[in-house]
Amino acid sequence: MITLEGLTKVFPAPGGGDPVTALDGIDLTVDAGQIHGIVGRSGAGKSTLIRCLTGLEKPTSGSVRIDGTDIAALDGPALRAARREIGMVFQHANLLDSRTAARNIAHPLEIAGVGREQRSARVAELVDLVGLAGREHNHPAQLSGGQIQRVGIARGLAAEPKVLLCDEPTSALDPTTTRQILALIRSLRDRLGITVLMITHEMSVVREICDSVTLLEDGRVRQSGALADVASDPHGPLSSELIPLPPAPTGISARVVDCDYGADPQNEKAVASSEELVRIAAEHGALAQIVAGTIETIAGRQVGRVQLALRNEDDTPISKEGLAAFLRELEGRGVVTKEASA
Amino acid sequence: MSEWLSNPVFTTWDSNTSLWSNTLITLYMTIGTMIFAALIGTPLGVLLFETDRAAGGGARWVNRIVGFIVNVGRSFPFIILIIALIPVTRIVVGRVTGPNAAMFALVVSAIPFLARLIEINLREIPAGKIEAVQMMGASRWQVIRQVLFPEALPGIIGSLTTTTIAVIGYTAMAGAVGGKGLGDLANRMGYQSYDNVVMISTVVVLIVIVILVQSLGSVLARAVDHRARNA
Repeated sequence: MITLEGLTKVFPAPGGGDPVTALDGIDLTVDAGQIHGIVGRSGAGKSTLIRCLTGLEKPTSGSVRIDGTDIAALDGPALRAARREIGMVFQHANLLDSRTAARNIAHPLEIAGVGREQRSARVAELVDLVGLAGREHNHPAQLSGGQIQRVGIARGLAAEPKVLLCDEPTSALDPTTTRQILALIRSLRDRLGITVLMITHEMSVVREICDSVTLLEDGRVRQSGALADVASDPHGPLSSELIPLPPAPTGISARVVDCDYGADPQNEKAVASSEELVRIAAEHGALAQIVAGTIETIAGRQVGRVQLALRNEDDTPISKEGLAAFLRELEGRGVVTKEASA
Repeated sequence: MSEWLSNPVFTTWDSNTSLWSNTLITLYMTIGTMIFAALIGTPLGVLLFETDRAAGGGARWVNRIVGFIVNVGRSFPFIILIIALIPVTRIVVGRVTGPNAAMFALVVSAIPFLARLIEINLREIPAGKIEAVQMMGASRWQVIRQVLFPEALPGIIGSLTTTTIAVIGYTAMAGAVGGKGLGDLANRMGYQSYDNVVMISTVVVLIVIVILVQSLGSVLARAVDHRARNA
């Protein structure tokens, strides 16, 4: 649904110095019906990427295809028509203060030239869809942050776009409201089959609703893939951010091993829980104690990073050979291991 | 008291002496000036804002040229402008004296003043709100009509109020071209003829007019302002 090829954006330096490369050859594909997260630090190019997607910035080179149309090649009325196929949700919603919630939601339809009766029917539908019944005649100043973002989402969906671009939609909201808004976005995707591109700097947002994720760094794609794959790939930069490992206790007389595991549909022997790790260790004659760890269910799959302390019955560290055999078995069962320096 | 009430300023309708007819003349010049100033100054303010926002080189030049003209217009002391404009006034109005001749100079002076204020009002709209509507596929004209005007309306009403009050003050100098009005009456009959009754009564009427204009402006601005009060 969304395909970026070699997307590059270079800004001339304001003071006549070196030009700034905000995006450097971005290749990215998002399939229809997916929720795809774009993460990265401030300055990584997230905002420039979204501005290129809506044609507010012209890329220096490369193409931006949304449902087959190259946005970057369009201008004037053709660009305006293409924009109507894209819904947009902003961090601060950017509603017009002069309009009520209902008239804000109707705005894209007004611009598209939809008649008054059809407009109000569609607005009533959207108000129900995002859970705003009873508040539609309030102005934004009379709504809470969560309600304002619901209006923003309804407005983004008004013209029945195929793609919904969300630019930090929950960054200005409290945790409870954030969860409600994310649940809303997910249920909208499930019901409408819309493709969602979600720009965020919050890993919790990615964990909660994204199917796939891309990490931007200095204008380049550092890592990209399905959430479960990315999260359970211990060598990638995202897994440690998605599943942080708390610091392990020091000074224990045992062999300490980091294990990254996750259920894998391709491997039915894959370890899918930390209890299984402990059981396998016992089969190798070792007592395994989980000394640190993060266990999460991401995209319906349990993934975890745990640190195991392995001892013999008599409280001595297990032998090198015993450890090697244990690690070999884990490797065959989809666990990435690393012996921690104790 | 009867001495006060028998003063020609209250008893006559002659525009050389009467408070009443000069009040009407001042109101006429002010309202007329504001109609023309709003019709021309508002689009000019939008033009200044839009050409500053646009990226194209052509727009930049339009912005520079219009900006320069507006600055020159605002630099002239009004009493000089009204005299300097006399040849133009003759062509546009057909005569160089009277309220209409004065009104022409008032309009020329009020347009750049209002245009700059409107430009400032438009600048106060967060850029994100304009971009949000552009991303819906709105044309430039749709953005102007559906975002710029409604969102800046409370400020625009404030600017119109401020300009109206400035114009009331400028009408005092209309006497220089025989424009008459309250300011002229206060100057000729009150100041130069040492008539305190005229002086005080004209000033009181001017104060009342200004207070009424300001109150009306504030009420209207508040009525259309839907922004959060203390955000």
